Amino acid sequence: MNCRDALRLMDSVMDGTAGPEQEQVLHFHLAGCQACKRAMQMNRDISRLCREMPRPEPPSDLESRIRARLAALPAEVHAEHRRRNRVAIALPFVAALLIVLGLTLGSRPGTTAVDAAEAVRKVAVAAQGAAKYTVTTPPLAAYARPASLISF
Amino acid sequence: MFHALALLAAVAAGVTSSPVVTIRREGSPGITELTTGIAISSHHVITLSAFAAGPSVPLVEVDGQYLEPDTVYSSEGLGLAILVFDGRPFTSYASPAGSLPESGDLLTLAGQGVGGLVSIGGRVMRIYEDGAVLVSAPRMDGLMGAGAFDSDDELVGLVNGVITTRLESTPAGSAEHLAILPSPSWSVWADLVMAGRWASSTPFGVTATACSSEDADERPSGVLIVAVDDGSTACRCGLRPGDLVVSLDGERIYNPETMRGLLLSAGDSLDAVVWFHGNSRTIKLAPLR
Repeated sequence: MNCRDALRLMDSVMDGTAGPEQEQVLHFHLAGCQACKRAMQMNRDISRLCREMPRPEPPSDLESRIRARLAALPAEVHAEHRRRNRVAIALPFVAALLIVLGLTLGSRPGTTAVDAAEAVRKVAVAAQGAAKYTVTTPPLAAYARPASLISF
Repeated sequence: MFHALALLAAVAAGVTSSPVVTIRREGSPGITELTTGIAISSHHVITLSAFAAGPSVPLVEVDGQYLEPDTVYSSEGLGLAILVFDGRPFTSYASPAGSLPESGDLLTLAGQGVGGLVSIGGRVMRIYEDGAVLVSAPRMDGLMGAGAFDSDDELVGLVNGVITTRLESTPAGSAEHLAILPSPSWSVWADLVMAGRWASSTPFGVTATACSSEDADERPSGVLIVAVDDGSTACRCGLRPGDLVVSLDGERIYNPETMRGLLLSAGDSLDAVVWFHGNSRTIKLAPLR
């Protein structure tokens, strides 16, 4: 198990969803990896600190105020919400239909592996074009303090 | 030096009169990566070593121009790099703080986002025995490698990761906190690099690693000696494999770079508290020349 696997497994162990074998593997890794041991300790601390924080209580009149504001909305706003809901419900069905159509058409006798490879190549070229001039910043990586051997 | 609110004003105005500088690297074909550096003197920038490594040279923006560093020093153990510019191009820089922040302190985190410098507030949640600092702050673009500044504008440390924990107690089901590598953990190394004294010395004769403790009552944190060269200075001073060096002249140490740095800067022998299987002893360590 490497550190990346260990960091992933920590969540399951903390949730109690990991099996005893997985837990044992994680603890075996932690015994020899100071960086992951520290990350596990931080995980536990965050859970504890969050549990200790007082739960904010909503104002007693919150529900009645929300209901009153909803009731005061103009009728056309309600109609717009309904239209959006209908579109949202229909989208998965349209997507499923397109997939079925694609599978049917894609399995035509005339379609060859060469055609498929060409399509993949076109997608790759398009992606490369889109990546041109892209500016990025590094994402926040999972905490893993390096613990390397130093000779001096 | 920079002054109170100058950082936030600089971020708001989009100018570069703050110690937070932009590092540009060419990554994969067609992709430019912008990362954060912090000027810690008129000609030194500190950053995460991952931002200084790779096939392309890291370039630092100064007044709209990108400058190539004359020298790059990297510390694998600390995960940091210092970029050296002979021309002293930085008019605004931050001093690394000499002490750790306290739990509950408010910090300003400033880093390089895609659209420019970003700045956000965070609160210190916990300080660990080995100096690692846990900070509560909203997650946003540009925070990896961001500088953490206290109310005196001192550089408290650099953001070196995020800790994500799944929680049943929050509506979103998870909580994220930032880990900060605080300045006291790397200032001895940085001071020697900046003075040009890090590279020149005779070997002390040890191979060591940082060793954090989960339970300080059971075992302290310190620098674990993994190997000692026969006949070396370290061997003659009485260091043995398995020794955990806890402090030098009363100063707690948590990484080999700090140990080496203190030995390099010492004028005379240092008293080292060494822990080995539950027993502590004090030995004299000769300085490095």
